[in-house]
Amino acid sequence: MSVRHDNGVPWLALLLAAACVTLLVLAGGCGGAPKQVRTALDVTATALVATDRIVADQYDARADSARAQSTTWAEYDEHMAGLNRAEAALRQTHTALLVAQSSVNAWDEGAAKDAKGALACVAEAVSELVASLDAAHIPVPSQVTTVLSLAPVFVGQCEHGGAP
Amino acid sequence: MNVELLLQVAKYVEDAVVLGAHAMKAIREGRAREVSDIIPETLRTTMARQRAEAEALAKFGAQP
Repeated sequence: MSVRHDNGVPWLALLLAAACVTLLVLAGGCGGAPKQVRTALDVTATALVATDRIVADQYDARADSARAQSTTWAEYDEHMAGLNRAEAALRQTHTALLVAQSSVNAWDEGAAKDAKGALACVAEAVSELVASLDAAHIPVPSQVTTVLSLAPVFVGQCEHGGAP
Repeated sequence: MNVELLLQVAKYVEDAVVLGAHAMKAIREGRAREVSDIIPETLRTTMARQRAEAEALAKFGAQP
């Protein structure tokens, strides 16, 4: 994976990753503290909103350019493929965070023994988001990919039935 | 120097600073808002995609 370091986006991605790892460590058998997990969800959700704002600006600009340079849908789609992947990854992360919040609430209320599955889905979604930002030439620091590669150490599998 | 690019970089830095301050404060205070209170119902990027595809539809016609 290529890595670039030329504006403020890396900080956003780094915060996303750091919050995610916090989620994984807390949920992965270290005594499970729902309040700390909730804080990590709060930070991750805030990072998602900031990242969304940046990607939206880039989407508008690149879509204008893609329309101007294209004469068919196929050409336009080809120009926009990277950003469409990033948009899908943002939506996936959005959904995973909402599902994780419900799971943490159930855990906190004693209706579930943990929230590992849903938190693993957040980690998976953030991982795809970071990969898609890189593919769309939106800078991602190497520290993020290194940290995200640790995710499987802490959690089990994301069960996709839990995060539509 | 491209003024538009400078403004965009300044906006990214501002976003990063605001987000960093929020993250530190949230962790220090153990703050934990509900995710649904933070994230919008529809993402800005999704709305941008919908707008862009509507404009592409106007230019290229229906998708094959």
